[in-house]
Amino acid sequence: MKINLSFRLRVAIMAILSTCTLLSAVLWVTQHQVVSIAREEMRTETCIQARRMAAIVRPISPLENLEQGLLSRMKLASKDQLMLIWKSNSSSAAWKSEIWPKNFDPEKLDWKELPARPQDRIVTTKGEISNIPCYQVEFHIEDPVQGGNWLAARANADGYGFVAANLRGVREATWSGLLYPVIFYAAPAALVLTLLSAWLLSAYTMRPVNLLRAAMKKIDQKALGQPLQIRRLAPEFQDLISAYNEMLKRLELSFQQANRFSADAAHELKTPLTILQGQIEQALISTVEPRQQQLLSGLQEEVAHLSAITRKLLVLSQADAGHLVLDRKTVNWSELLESILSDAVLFVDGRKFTITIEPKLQVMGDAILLHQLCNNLIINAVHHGREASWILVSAQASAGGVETVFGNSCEPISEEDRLRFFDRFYRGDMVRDKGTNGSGLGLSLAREIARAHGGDLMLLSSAEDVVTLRLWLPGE
Amino acid sequence: MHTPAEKLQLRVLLVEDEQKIADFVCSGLASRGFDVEHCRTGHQGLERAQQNIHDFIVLDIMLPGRDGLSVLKELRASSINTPVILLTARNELGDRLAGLELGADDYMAKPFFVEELVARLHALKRRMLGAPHESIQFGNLRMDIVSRKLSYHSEEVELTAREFKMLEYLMRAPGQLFTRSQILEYVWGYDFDPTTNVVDVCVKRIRSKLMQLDDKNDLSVHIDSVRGVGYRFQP
Repeated sequence: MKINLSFRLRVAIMAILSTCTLLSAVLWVTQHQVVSIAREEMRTETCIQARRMAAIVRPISPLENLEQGLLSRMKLASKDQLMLIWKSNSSSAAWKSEIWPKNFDPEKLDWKELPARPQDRIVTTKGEISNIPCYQVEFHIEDPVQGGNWLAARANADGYGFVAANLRGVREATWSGLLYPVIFYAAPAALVLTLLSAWLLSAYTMRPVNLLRAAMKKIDQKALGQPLQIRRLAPEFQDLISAYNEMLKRLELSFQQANRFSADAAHELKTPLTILQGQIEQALISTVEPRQQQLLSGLQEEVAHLSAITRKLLVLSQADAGHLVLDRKTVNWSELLESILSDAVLFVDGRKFTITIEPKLQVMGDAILLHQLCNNLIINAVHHGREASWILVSAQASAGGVETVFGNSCEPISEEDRLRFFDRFYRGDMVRDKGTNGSGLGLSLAREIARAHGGDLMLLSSAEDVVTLRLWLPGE
Repeated sequence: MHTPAEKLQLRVLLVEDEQKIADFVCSGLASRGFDVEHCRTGHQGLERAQQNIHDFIVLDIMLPGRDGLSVLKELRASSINTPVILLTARNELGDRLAGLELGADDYMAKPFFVEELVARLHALKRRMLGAPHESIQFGNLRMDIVSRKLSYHSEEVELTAREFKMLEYLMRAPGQLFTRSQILEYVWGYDFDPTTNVVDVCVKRIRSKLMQLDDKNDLSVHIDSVRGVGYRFQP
């Protein structure tokens, strides 16, 4: 089972893109939620701490400790994010955080009193339970270090307490506490999992298609009738298979019809041709009158021409229907080429032949059809060539087979004519001008024969006044 | 001068449903000294062939009733080994294979020349009877059919295979006119281009080879050209 790497990559990329989109959407929403919850918590926390400080009559531990304790309770990263003031209402004891900005007077802020709740009552250092009122405000400071929005709370009882937390610090705390682990650990793990599952999924989804492809490959033109059968497939593929089988059935029918047609047509054409040829032959024997003899022999040549076309058409139609019957045997290609060339050399005057044929080249095929193929190509070179020109034939062993090149110089052939070189009944203008008697089927037939043998025949690009054909046939 | 057909009458059974084809084959073979019997259907043909009195059977493949291949199969199954030449117009390549597998001795595709059928019958006869010394002789020119050698005053004339085949074709029917198409089809096979002058070139070469040997100037035979038609062997 082979799956295209680029297909797998495309599936993986699509999966990763959708996972990324999903992850960022989730992160964005989560971050918003977490920050707003953290801000609510901070509101409560600042208030609690302001009240605690207001309840202090005189400090028990050094006031620096108070600041440290608050930082960790409020989950703030540095002292820059916390401002506090404490002063005693009964003595001159006071403490102010180092980062307190100059000219900053908290009393000018627009404080709002927070409704006191029962759970907000605290025990003061005097040992009384007190419900100290707490005021809160949000304010803004322009400063590179401490700048940003602050949330402040103050309370006044035995002492005065002011606590303010930088909201940027709150956001940072949520990122480092919750979102960074998600981004650095969970997201990569999710992406790896996505990649892996995309990889496996692409193989899994391609499996039925591959099964289908393998089954389809087994069907060739000669065995069109066999329906495709794969049981282990999902129902949607079964529908596809039955549609495909329907199509096969129709194709098989039309192939059969075409094949029967060509056989019938051949029979219907050949019977009158046989009668014509036989009767002309008998008439020729019984006449001694020279003009009669000339006439009859001319007729005979036309009948021969007609039968040659009929035979070619029959082989072509069999090849088209995929029913070309090959009597495969080992054929000595070198000998076959040489024997045909020896005839060609005999009847073609004034052409320079360049023949280089490796000895003992062997191909696997039908001797009669290969003879016809080779014959067509050499006749083609003779007909299309200029007089007093050259014809080249070279044959050598090549990767698993035999490569034969047929070349000849000719009148210039346009690109357009070259494109139609293998078209049936197509003859370039210059061939028609010369009155050559070819049928225009020879090259098409040659190519069909080559292909029926698993080989190929193609026109190589060359100068305008040169035709070069390359024939490849599989060896033993 | 003698040809085998004149020495003994060969009996040929022709099984062919098309009357017009049968007509010219019968008259053509009869004029070359064969005794021809004609049947129109496969059943009839099989019945007559099973009498085992014929030297050859010329069997069309497409026949009404029982086709030629099944007649051939039945014949071989009942151990009748009369040489069979198949005639076919249909799917040539497939029929050729099937026919030869079933035990046909030769195969001719329609359309065909009666002269070629005659030549093939002679070749078959030689193969069947294993005639060791068949030859055609005109004066001092002697053609040994079996060893495929031509000699003049016991001196061998070098001929290529094609030249020999052509000369043999002409010499078997001295005085008879052969057209280029006939010669081309018999010597080169049907797929050779009928517009080439290969027949003329080949005749020229045979002639010059004969002329070179004719130092005593007593060669009485020659190949006549008939303008625009073909050639005949003149003893």
